[in-house]
Amino acid sequence: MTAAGLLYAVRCSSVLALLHLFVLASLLWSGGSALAAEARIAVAANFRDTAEAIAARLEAESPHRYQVIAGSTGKLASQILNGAPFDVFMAADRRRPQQLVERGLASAEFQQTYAVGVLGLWWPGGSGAPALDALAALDPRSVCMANPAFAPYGEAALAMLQNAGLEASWLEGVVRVDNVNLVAGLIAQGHARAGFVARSSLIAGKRQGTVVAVDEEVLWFAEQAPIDQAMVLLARAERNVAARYWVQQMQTEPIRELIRVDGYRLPGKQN
Amino acid sequence: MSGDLQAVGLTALLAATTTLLLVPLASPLAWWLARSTSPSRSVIEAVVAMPLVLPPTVLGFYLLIMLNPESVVGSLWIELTGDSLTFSFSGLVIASIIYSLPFMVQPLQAAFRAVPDSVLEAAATLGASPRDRWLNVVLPMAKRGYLTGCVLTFAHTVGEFGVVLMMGGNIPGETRVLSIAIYEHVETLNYDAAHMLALGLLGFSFLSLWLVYRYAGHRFEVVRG
Amino acid sequence: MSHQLIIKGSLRRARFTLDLDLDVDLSRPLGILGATGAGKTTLLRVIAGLERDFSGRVEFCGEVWHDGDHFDRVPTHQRGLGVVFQDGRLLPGRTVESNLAFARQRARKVNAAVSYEALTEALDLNHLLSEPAEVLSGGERQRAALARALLARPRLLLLDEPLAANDADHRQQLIRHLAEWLSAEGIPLVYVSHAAHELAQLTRQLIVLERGSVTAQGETHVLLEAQSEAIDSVARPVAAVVMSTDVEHSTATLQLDDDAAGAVLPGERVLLQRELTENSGLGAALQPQSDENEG
Repeated sequence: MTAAGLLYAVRCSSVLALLHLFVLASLLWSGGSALAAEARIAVAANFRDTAEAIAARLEAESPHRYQVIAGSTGKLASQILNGAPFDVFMAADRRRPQQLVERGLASAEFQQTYAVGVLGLWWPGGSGAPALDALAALDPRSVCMANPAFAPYGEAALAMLQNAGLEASWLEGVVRVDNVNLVAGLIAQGHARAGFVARSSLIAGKRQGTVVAVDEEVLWFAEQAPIDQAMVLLARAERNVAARYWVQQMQTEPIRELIRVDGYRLPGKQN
Repeated sequence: MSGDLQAVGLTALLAATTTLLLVPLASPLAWWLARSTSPSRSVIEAVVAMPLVLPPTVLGFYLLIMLNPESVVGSLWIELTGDSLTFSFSGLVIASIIYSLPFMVQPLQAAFRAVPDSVLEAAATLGASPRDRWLNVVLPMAKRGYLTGCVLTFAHTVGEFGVVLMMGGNIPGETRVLSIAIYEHVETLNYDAAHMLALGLLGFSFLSLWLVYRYAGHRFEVVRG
Repeated sequence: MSHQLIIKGSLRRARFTLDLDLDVDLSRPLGILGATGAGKTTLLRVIAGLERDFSGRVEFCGEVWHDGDHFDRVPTHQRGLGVVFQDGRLLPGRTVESNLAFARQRARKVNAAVSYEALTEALDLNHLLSEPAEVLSGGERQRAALARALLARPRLLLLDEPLAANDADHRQQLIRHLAEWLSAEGIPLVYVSHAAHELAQLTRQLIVLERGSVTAQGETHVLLEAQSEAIDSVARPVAAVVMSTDVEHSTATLQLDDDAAGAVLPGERVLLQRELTENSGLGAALQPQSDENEG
């Protein structure tokens, strides 16, 4: 009597069981293993390529494994506050790492500035050198920046625009994107005429061949708006060997060189 | 590319897990809804159907709050497993079960309602206990309902986005499902990769629906005499 | 050994209230007679345990099946019943054979006098065994349901108009078979019908139901004869001219009025309400067949 019921249940789930096996196989193949000693590094979008390079370097030199997850600083911080399983947080500002330390979600021990980012106004095809106040002549919807609500590069961009005296109503129309990396891509593809980019984005894009920026087209704000990028070791990773290794290596010469080459300025050496 | 393959595998695993868990969870609920005459039935039906109309971000938002490490459920989970429920595969399973609930309950409810009381009475007079009637009369008659429910639940879970975005994040091997991967590719202007994944999902959705209509659609039989 | 059936209680329905105070020994088959809507089927359902709202008591063979506090003291599936519903109720999505198997798998473990093969043969089901239940005609369905009920090897057989969908030929055959099996197996029987001749042949005691109440109770042949009013309301009145009578064989040849043609089938046994006289009236009294009388 119940044999019929059982047989029926087996038939029902056999297709799904097969799917399960396929899934398991593909997971193993792509190396999604949770058993090796590894750390998840949450990095601000602008730092993604550099972080990948550092990860490759450290993986070559050590038995550790690293997973880089990029996003805008504010979003990542919010996720961490809600329990996201990251081990190290490399922000594009100092405020959010500080907030996490104050909330007990990160340890102050390894809190440090790892890079100083450079913001720039990229305006290809403009007449003469780019100038902030000249932007007013453009339709604000053709100007692009990272969202100041959660991207430090966007915050800095907005501050620069406000100081240059651009009107609030004009500022409202500026296109805000999720993170600073997208700005360079949008301008390169012609979706925007001008925008506020990170130097690291231009360098990375040039390497990939997707973004070609001529020096004359960019106005850098290295002195006016340095972007101090700080990092912390998150509380859940206190005893994570891979994570600790990562934060310790940040101050070593080879890693600092990698950072510099990607368009950042280096902070003074810290212990 | 291997990252995308991982996303496919993860998505399939999430959908399969959700579907398999929903079968035993939804069956008693659907059975009760099919046969109850209680006034609270319409309330329960509305609650079950809510994920059909609720913006997924609303669901994701409340799940973020409820499964948060600081919440009762979330902190209990951390004590038990050491890991947060949010931004984890387990959290996604819980979210998917809620999100896809009506897709399993409603086809089952319809299938159960189609089992006439008269048939169950006849089975009882032949010596079949309630459990016996369930296994040997109701279940075989509800086969098509289960097929529809499973396929729809699976396909619906594969397409989850808003909920995952809110409380799943984008963690490879854990919560980076197909829809998130596509979103990420578009964000990084990687349209080729986005195309591949999106077309694949499109084809899959069509295939699932076709399967349902082909094999579980109603066939009318003329009963003579 | 007595098979006492006791039903005391009431059940409210839309058009009547079923009100019962019965105490019968089912060692002799019991018939239930009544017009449509009198509550016959409801009464059967109460015995079967399918009416939760019945407030009262149901007892069989000293076992309390249903009482005020626990309608399910002995639930339906444990009562050892064999039921044929008016609409057959074969399990859908299964063949006839599978339906019969369903009963056999749950049957009481007793030695039965009538075998599976004998049943399917007698009920003319052998050519239908692998047909899906849905394609059977009404008569075929009822015969399959009858086989199924008997294969459950029941302690109590409840039949609700089990022959109504069969044609007259089949019906008479079935009555004969049933009578045989009942006496061979000795199964207590409750038989619901509005056809007097079926009741006459298969039951010994009779209850007449009218709008939920028992208006008469007694020996079948006595009641059928005496309760002419009751029968008036249930039997089809037929106007006929007697062509010839054969008292020796208790048969008469009647020519039916045009109105009546089709109401009675050739060969069907009818119950006459008046004395038979040759040619114009009615000449001899014909009584329903029973053990005590001879033709």
